[in-house]
Amino acid sequence: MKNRKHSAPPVVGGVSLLIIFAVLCLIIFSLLTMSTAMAERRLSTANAEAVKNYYEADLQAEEIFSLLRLGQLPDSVTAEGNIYHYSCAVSPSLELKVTLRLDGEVWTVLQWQTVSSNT
Amino acid sequence: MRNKAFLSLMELICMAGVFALAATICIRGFLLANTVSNDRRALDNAVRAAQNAAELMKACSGDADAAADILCGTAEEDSLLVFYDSEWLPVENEAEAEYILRSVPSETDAELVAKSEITVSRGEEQLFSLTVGWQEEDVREKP
Repeated sequence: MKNRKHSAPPVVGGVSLLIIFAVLCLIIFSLLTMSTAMAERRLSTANAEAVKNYYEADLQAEEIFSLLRLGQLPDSVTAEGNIYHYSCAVSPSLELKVTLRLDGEVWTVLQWQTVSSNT
Repeated sequence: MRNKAFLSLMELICMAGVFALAATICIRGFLLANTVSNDRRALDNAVRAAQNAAELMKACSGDADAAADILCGTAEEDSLLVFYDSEWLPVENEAEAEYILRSVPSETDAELVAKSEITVSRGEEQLFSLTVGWQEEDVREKP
């Protein structure tokens, strides 16, 4: 009968486990960083678009105001005595609401405000 | 004994390869995120600078000199020019500037309204632009 020598199985896998854990951490952090950066960029782009839209509406409101100063009454303007109301769309959910009062030659801005158009 | 050492070595080599591959891909991801973040910061600051200039132009009824004094820029005729460094601080020389804000009067059909096109650019790349308008003679009396 041969006397077989039983040696312990080779210790492999420790390094693998460590590297797999490190790689998983790297991938997760990388994905989180990327998704945060993309979300911030989307937010910035939306903000830039909102600012641009606001100034477009503001310009439109100034043009209507200039027509009122010239004595014209555009269709979008509602007149109640010496009070004039109109609004310009900033976005589907926001509008720039303007209320002006004319006393003799003097125009008074009573309201120049963005409000929700759903209200 | 030799087998055991060989297996350990093979494992180490394979795992080093896997780690190198993953690290290369992830570092590229980190760099891309950093670029996106820098671009986003530049856009945010460009919007803020353009908005400041727009409100100043409206408040000064288009007086570029007055707006230039406040924004630490220069005025040429009715145009306003402000140079910013990489930290968005105003600088005097164009050579030191990384970002440039320009406000140039533009044509308008409406009487009594003046318009200005405000653009913020980095080199040749335009970051943000908006058009602002105001009454030529401000007859408004604010309550």
